[in-house]
Amino acid sequence: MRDPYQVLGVSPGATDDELKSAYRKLSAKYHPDNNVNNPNKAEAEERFKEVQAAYDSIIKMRHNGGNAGYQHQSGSSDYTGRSNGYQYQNYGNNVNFSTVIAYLNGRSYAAAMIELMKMPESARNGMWYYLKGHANWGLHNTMAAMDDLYRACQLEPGNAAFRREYETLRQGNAYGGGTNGYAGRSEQYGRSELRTSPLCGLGSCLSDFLCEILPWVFCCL
Amino acid sequence: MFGLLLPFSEKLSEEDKKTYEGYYCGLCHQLREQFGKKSSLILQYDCVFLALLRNGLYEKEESFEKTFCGHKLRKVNVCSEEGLRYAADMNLLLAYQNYRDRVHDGQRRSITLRAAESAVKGLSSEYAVIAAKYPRQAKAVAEYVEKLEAYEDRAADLKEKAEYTPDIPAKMTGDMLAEILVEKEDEYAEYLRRIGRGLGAFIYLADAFTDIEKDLKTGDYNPYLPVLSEEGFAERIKDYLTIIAGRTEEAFEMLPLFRHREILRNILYSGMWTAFEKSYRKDWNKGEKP
Repeated sequence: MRDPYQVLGVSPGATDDELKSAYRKLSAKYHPDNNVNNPNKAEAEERFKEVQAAYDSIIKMRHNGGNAGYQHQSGSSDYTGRSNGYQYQNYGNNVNFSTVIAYLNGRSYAAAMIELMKMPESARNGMWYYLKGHANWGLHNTMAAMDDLYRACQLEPGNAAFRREYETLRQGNAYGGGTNGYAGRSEQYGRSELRTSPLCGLGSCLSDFLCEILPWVFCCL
Repeated sequence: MFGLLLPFSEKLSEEDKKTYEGYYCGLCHQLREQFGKKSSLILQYDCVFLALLRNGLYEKEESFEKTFCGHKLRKVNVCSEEGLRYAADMNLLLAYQNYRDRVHDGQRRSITLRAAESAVKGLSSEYAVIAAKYPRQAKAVAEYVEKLEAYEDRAADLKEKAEYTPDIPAKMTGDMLAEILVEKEDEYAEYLRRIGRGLGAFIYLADAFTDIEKDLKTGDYNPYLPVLSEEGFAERIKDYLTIIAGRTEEAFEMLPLFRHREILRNILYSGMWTAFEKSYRKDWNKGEKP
């Protein structure tokens, strides 16, 4: 595939908005619906697909594909290195997480989960819960993932790395930290705690009040 | 269950408020035109969101007009736009199935709810037409209601922490909403499905939280029952929701969308939390039992 930035005619430093704008223009130009009478419509369709693919690849790269918050945040998708650095208790059995780790690195989350569940109770230490959390995260079992990571922290209170990851995720910062994270930006909008009608403020409060209480009286008008 | 995707209107610009009203009232008008006057009772905020999202993506022509509304007793802004047809169709699909969901719950129904239910009951032939026109979406919603009922029946017996898996019904809701958001399998389908999955999970989990008090009284199933008494429970739920919302918003930002972006962001960052926040701030969530 050609360089996606070239396909869209933008520089790699283009903002997301510039990228989206370029995409919309080209997409409209080559869209099959807009090229019905074009003698070169087959070529137009090829270009359309190329524009799609280019946008898709850039946007996913920029937004981490919307996946795997854990890996992105820590900056390393290599579990092996990190697990070797941990001082986790060996419960007497030679608990080998390398298969699980290999699956996680390969994003085979279901396989990783199966491997983890095969392990006996005695093997279910902090590291086990930590890795299970990663597997659940990959499977989009958000609550289970958080619970697992929390459990890992409970089992190994001294483990700073576990706690750091848990805290980062808690703040909804898997997709960018600090004020650029979801939690930060959400705060800028503020939240209403009242059950305000979304149309409040546009008309009389009395009509909105009646609207809540007696809808069917007026609807037949 | 639905009705969470509304804006925090205080934070909308005056222009965006008018636009939102345009789509809200526009959907109402569209429903009445397609399904008769009583159908405006079934209007759902989530479908207003859908209409705004669709128009933002496809940028179809909109025309706004001020008309007197016999319901609000004042002039309202009404938008006409082709995507409202799809939003109205999906609204009926969801309302029709929603009615089935309520009957099963056996909860005490308010007057407004019963009025809406009676409105929907008379629309079975219209429902059949929509289901035939959009088989994928109709199937997704029908299957969702069945699977959710079956899951909740089974799960009601499982009060142990080990069986605590609210992710399952959350994902079911996400899968269903993903199909609703995708009108046709075009270049946006993949992004829309990601958004739908995230939103569905958020909606289910936030809604279940606001239902805790009621479910404790009626004895209905609630996914959080096994963990209610745990320390910091409400805060943990808020954390989960924040993560899911973050993932959804991230998917939303991948769309090459400009029009209505601020309204949609307002809903996703703020508005959709409204019911949850109200529930969260109640005293009993801070450690005391209701």
